[in-house]
Amino acid sequence: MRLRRKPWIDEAIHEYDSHIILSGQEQYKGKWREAFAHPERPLYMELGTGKGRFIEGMSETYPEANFVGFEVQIGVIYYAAQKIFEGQRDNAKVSLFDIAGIEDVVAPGEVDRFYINFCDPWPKAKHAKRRLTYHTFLDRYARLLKEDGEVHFKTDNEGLFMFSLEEFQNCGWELKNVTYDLHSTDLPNVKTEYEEKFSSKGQPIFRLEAVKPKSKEA
Amino acid sequence: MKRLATLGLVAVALCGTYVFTAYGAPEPAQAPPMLDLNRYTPKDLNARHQDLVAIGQFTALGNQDSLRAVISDSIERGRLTPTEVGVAIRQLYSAAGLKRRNEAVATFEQLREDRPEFGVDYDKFVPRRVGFSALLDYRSEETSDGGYLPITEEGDKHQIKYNTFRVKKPKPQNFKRSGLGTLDKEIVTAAALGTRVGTTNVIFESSKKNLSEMGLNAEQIEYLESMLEQ
Repeated sequence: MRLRRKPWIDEAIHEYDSHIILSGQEQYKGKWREAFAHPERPLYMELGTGKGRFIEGMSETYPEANFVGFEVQIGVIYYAAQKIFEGQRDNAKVSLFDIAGIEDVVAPGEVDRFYINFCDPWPKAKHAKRRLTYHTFLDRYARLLKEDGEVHFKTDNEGLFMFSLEEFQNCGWELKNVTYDLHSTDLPNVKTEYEEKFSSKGQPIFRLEAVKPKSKEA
Repeated sequence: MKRLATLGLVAVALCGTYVFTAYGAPEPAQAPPMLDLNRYTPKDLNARHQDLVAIGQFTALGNQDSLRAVISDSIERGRLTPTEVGVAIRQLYSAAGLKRRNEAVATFEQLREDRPEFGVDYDKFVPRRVGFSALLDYRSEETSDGGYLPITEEGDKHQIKYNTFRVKKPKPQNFKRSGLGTLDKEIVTAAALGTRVGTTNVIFESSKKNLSEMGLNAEQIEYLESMLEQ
């Protein structure tokens, strides 16, 4: 998601400092749970939070879990922080960080679940390695996930979904609840901004859940 | 100190000489022969191929309940896509027989109607009318007198309406998984054929030869046969 630069956000974002981590994420490595009031709860991370509708909805729907959302653009994460702050969610935080270096801020075996929603499909073959479900990324997620940790992936792009199915299976992940039209199912779902936009046009939403392979070390 | 160091060096040299003479020089490490290398050779079919075998088997047997269960499980677990299942079944007209194939197709279509989360059927996809025909607002079917039926509001209600947001089918060239490969097709055909004519039949032998040429090893083919014999 790309928005026009808004200089006023640099100042205004500090209003939500209680729910956003703008810098120094490295010090949270291995200690993300301690940033919440209930560290014993499972830790779920969303990669690419966008405007935060998903993380805000999930934190409301699942108060028994802690949520962290990563987003690289300050102009976008501002709205996510605003939503969480105004919803008074004590179990959700967002962080301004590029997930390309996620190992710098997340310790191995720290996370219970990753959510990847409507990531860039990178449709050209030569850009395949940039897709967030490319096998190198999957190996990285596996290192950061706990035993039996999961990745929940949602997209509107069928080509990316097929590619992801292949990649997950080649890397030994166990798939479940694979659906080619999410809104036809009764699976619990919190819509994102993109999802609302595309599903209103009749576009089916593809979704899968993948369980970390047993052989990968935590 | 110098004397002590010298004595120490002499002692080490003497001990080394004794060990060398007692046990001989160590033999140089030799690389193991190529045949002894621990190469990975799969001894069974992967989950995707096992599902294809089951689909071919149940299609040939006409066991619609089991076929339906296998297809549902396979799609839910992401091993086969609905499109791939459709291709796998539709190509079985010769291996399983046209009647069995049509029954399986009907079962699969019924399953898709019952389970809309398996997605749109692109084979039934009707692209949005564009260009001159849309401008004229006429049906494509010709009447007996050579004219065209105009579209009425009532007719529109009964027309099948599919998602027209995505007019084109997804382009497969940039993604690896666009459908069944030749090996996949041969596996499902072999499974149907083996069930129909028996694993000792000459026709099945030729199918096994094809599978071998396509990359399955002998143990995998034996595994396929054991699946069919169950």
